[in-house]
Amino acid sequence: MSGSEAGFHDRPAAFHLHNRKPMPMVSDMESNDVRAQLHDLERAEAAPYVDQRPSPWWFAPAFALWFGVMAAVQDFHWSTDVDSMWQALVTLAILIPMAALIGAYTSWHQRYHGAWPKLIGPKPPEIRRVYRVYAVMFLLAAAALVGLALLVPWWVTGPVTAVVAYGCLAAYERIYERAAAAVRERLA
Amino acid sequence: MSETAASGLAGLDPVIHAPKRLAAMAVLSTADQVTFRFLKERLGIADSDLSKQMSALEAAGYVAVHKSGRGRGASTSFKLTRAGRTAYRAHRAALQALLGDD
Repeated sequence: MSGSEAGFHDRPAAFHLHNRKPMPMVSDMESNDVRAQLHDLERAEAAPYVDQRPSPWWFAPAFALWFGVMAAVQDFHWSTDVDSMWQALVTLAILIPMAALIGAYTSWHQRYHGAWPKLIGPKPPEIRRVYRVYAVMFLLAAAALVGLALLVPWWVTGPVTAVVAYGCLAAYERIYERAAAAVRERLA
Repeated sequence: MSETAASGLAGLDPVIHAPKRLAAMAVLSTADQVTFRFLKERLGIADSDLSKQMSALEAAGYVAVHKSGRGRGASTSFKLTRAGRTAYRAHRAALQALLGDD
């Protein structure tokens, strides 16, 4: 630790509140400074949610394909009567790389966007609303697709799921960007 | 001095009160992990300055550092420790208390 750093820690915290001037009485403090500081904090806290780069062109098709394949494999597993070794092997041979893709996605997301915002915990209210919409949209789409999978063969379930996933992601990204812009404007 | 304001002053943490460190803590408080590049762009400071600020937070036990890869693809990321999260919440609450907004 440098000498100046040591000096920093030796002083009372309130010393640092106003550009290193001698410690003022609280009643003398400009509450506007503290208010501005809290506003800056709110803006910094919102950054992981609203300062995201747009997704690359391939992201939505890849996302849709992933969901389509997963749904087709699951439906194939449900609808095939033969409980054979080859069926299990085919399912595993597809599911294992698909699961590995989640790890690859997580790593890519972290590098590309630079921050992984928390799902749980305080967040801008505009973003919280979008998360709620997303959760409802996901549950409705999942319920509809499970119902569909019971009625149609796996090779129909897969493509339909991919199209629904693509549509949901496109809608979600549009809604999210609008909310993020609202947060940026509010905290500007 | 009101009781609320006095408790606000007492709760300010000198390690994170420095503006750059406080801003870094605020960004980290709402993310599971944040890269060096993201923090640098948000705070608008030089690499060396950010390294210095983050080292101070790491030394205080408020931030955990994770390095991955080598060479050009290498990346450094940060996350708040439990102590860091507690300290940030307390500091934020202390600032609110200074305004009497608690």
